[in-house]
Amino acid sequence: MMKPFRKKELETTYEIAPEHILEVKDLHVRIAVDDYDLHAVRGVNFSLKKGETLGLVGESGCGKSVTSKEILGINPGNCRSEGQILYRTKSGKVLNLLELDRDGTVYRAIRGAEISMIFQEPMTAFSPLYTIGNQLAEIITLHDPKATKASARQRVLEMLRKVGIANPEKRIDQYPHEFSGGMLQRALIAMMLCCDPDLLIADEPTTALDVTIQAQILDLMRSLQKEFGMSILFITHDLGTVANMCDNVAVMYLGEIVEYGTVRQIFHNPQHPYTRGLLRSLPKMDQVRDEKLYIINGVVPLPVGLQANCGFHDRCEECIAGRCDTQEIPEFEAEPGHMVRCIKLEKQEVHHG
Amino acid sequence: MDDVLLEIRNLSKVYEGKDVHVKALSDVSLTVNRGETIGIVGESGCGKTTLGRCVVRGIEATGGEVLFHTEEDGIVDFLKIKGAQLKKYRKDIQMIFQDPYTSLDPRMTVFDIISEPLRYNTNFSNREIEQAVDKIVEQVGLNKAFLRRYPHAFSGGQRQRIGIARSLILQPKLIVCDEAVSALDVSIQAQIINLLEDLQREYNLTYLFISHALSVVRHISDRVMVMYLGRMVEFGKTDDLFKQPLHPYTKALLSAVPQPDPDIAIDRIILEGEVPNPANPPSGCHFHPRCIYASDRCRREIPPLENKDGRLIACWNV
Amino acid sequence: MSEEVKKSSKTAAHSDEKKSEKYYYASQWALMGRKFRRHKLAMGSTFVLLIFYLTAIFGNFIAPQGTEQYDGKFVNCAPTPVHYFHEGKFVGPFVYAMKTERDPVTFMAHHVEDKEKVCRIKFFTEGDPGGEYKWFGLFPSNIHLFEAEEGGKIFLFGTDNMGRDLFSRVILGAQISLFIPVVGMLLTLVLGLFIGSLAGYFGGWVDTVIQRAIEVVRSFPQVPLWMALSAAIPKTMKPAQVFMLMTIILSLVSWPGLARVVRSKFISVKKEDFIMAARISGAPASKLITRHMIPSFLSYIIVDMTMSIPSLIIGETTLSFLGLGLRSPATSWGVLLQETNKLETIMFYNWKLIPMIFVFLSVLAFNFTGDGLRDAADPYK
Repeated sequence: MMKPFRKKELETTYEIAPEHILEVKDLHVRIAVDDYDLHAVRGVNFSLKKGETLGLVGESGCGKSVTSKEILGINPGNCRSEGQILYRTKSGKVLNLLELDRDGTVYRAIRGAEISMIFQEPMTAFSPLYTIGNQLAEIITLHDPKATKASARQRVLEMLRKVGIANPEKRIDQYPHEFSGGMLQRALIAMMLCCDPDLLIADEPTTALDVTIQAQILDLMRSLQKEFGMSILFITHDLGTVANMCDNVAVMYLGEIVEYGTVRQIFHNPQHPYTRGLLRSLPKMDQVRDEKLYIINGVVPLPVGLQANCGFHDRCEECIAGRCDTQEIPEFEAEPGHMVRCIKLEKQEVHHG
Repeated sequence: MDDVLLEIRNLSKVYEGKDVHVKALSDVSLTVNRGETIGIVGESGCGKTTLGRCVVRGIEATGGEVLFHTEEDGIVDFLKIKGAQLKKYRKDIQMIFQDPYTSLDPRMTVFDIISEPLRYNTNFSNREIEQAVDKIVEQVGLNKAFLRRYPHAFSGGQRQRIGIARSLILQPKLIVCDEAVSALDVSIQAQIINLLEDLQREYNLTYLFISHALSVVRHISDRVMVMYLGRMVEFGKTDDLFKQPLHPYTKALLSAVPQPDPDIAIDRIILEGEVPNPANPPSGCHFHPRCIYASDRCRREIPPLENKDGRLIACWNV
Repeated sequence: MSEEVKKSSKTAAHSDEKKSEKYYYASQWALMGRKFRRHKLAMGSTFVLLIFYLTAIFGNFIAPQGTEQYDGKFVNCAPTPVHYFHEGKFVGPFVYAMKTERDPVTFMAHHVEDKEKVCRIKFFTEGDPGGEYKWFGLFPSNIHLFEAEEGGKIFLFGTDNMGRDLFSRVILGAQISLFIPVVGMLLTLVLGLFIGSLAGYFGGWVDTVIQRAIEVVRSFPQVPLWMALSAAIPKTMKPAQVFMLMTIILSLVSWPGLARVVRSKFISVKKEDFIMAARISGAPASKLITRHMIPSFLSYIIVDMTMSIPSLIIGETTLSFLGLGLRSPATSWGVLLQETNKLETIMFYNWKLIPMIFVFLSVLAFNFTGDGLRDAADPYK
């Protein structure tokens, strides 16, 4: 009898920069939907330092969520990926997550314990059948088999207190439906903290919340990051949140990172026409009324049958016909650490890559 | 003919369940002038959506009046009229919905969706209907060639344009925009806001602009009403209110909005706790459990809405 | 990117454009159809059902005998084999003539082939054997699809203890067994849609009354209720009337389930934004219901109904099997099976169980089709 095929957990060794915890290299993800083959992520490169917060910004359909889910290996079965996702585990070993068996022991140990995720809809992360305390305690005992029932409960109480849930002694025995959206998001963060991850992926964690609650949650995330020193990959479409939360920002459009830099470079000196357009089209709190909003014309195209050119060319005011629409655009460095994928920068700077 | 288009008086909505009695909206009064945009802001559960739906009679209010100033019949209470009169004035008050995905019937073509109100409210021939639809479709920036398509062929922004075309085709006087741009991407949001403003100028439309996105409200509104737990807590001119909020809740709300600039000093008032359950609201001023200025009086008595230099505000401490 | 890849991606883009163009103009029904066509098992089942129904519709033409014909000489005759070669020579489809022999020990009659007499099968024959019938009950005709030449007999599925051709009876029985469920389903649909819409749209006391009525009807045990109602059908009734009554009985028992589904769908769709949008545009209640609400869940209802047909087929078969539905000479699959409920059938005349295969196949086919429809109607797949 033949043994069923099982993906081998490879022993190839990889190197990443010592201060990095994560390096994504030339990541491509294709999604098979009905008759289409959506090229959702097209050659994404970025890295994450320890304790850094990187914002992944873009409109719907830009591939930011698909990228983040690929890191956790939780994209649905109709997705195919290429490239490398190099991750430094707690033990110091560098693994290419794309080579791991998604359901294998190694990946399972990484997921949750080392890389955690919080979502837009915290409700879906909890089972309605068990109390919040039970579900958190389960996570603790899963990762620390020596923990007793009593010690796990103590730790859950401590975590709930840490994320600012008032009256945790009462809350611990309540069910998810008794929690409001903001409280549930706190509980989810507590659940994530129980594992003490090195990397937190936050996928639109405050989008479903009211502004006052959003302010609370962002505050909480910042203080927890200071305390635990984890890296955060912060995915959102809300530029305001990014400006307040992140150290570095990657702006995505049509599956590519079009601009990457520190939060100040991006917000004070945006170079890519898309980034500029996004920032200009935001209504400002201090703007005089009657001033018209800037508009980026058109819509994001479906990532089907894309050419090797600038994905933004058909909406760009500065598009150079015969170049932007026909030629593959490399990355240029506007300033040290400020990468822009726009041909405008060609003359100014040295070509990288 | 006066400047006033609509007077909302003591509008209330109570949901009665078996053992619950939820006051979603308590005694909200508001005068709306022709051609202006009134922003209505507040967190979820504050009653802003209920207010909008009561005004268009999408749901029936349990108390109060919506006095509609008409040319022919003088002042009519839009909530009480029936039959032929309702048919006559219903088309004057329309609505744009938040979710461009659920608000369009997926089984109808775009043409059928946009033309549907005409079929119920006019005796237009098919030709006239086609002409009207063509005109409005051009105005909202949709391609005429796409009229025979179904909604699933369109992106969120285009769907919202279809929704706008539907609400405009009867040439209404007032449009309630219920979070009309909240579900859209940033670049599309700007397109729709500009479109709404252009249409307002062209048709002298009046908007009730309901939104939780304060920066959008800041941009589009002439006057702004802040709601908390079914009540109006502050109301005033947009510039005044945003520059100098008076109510502690308004202050906190404004300071919580993240600014798209990393260097804007974060001087946030972070509110403790959350919006209470409207089925069991706190005594006195509903905001007092989260308010740093709360006094004994706030805990006991509900503050009345008072006029302070043209600003309406309900707070004992101002 | 190499030149070749570029080219292929260009053509891919072009064909994708064409594809999406179709997709954009496709109604929800068309999209459902596309998904359904991808479901192989369901497509196969639909094909089988199509053949069954066409055969039933043209039953009188295909069946060599009518329901009331029998031949005392050929009682309990095994299925006649159809041959093509006689003594090594190709002669086309034919059967051998039959002769009767008796078992010298048991004295049971056997029908065996007389290998000398070749009787060719003739097609589109006119004349007696099947007798006259009317196309769709309107145009009299006596053309049949096939019969054996003078002297030969062709019983594809054998005969019963009265010498009736089982093949003909299966086909003619299908006219009842396959159409009672459909008519019953349509009746159920009308009743369920109407009553469920009333309850769901108006709510309040209307809803309460209907809900209680549904509970009362549903709390009757189904089979005894069928039996009681069917037993009340007078024995002297014509088959056509019995047919009508049976469909009514079946649908009277099955509407409450549908009414419940419709009611809950109404309640959930009432909260949809597009319903409120239509109401704000001034749509009257009748238009709201017929233009927006019912179409929004009609596909689910159709799926539900397709899945309920098998139980109606079984229902009809059960009633007839118990001797409470149709009776000979009128025929249905249930009637045919009823005639087999003797041990000797299984021992000596096992071809008489053939109708069971058709009950089995049609029930399976409906279930698979329903499955495919459900998958196609589900927007999350």
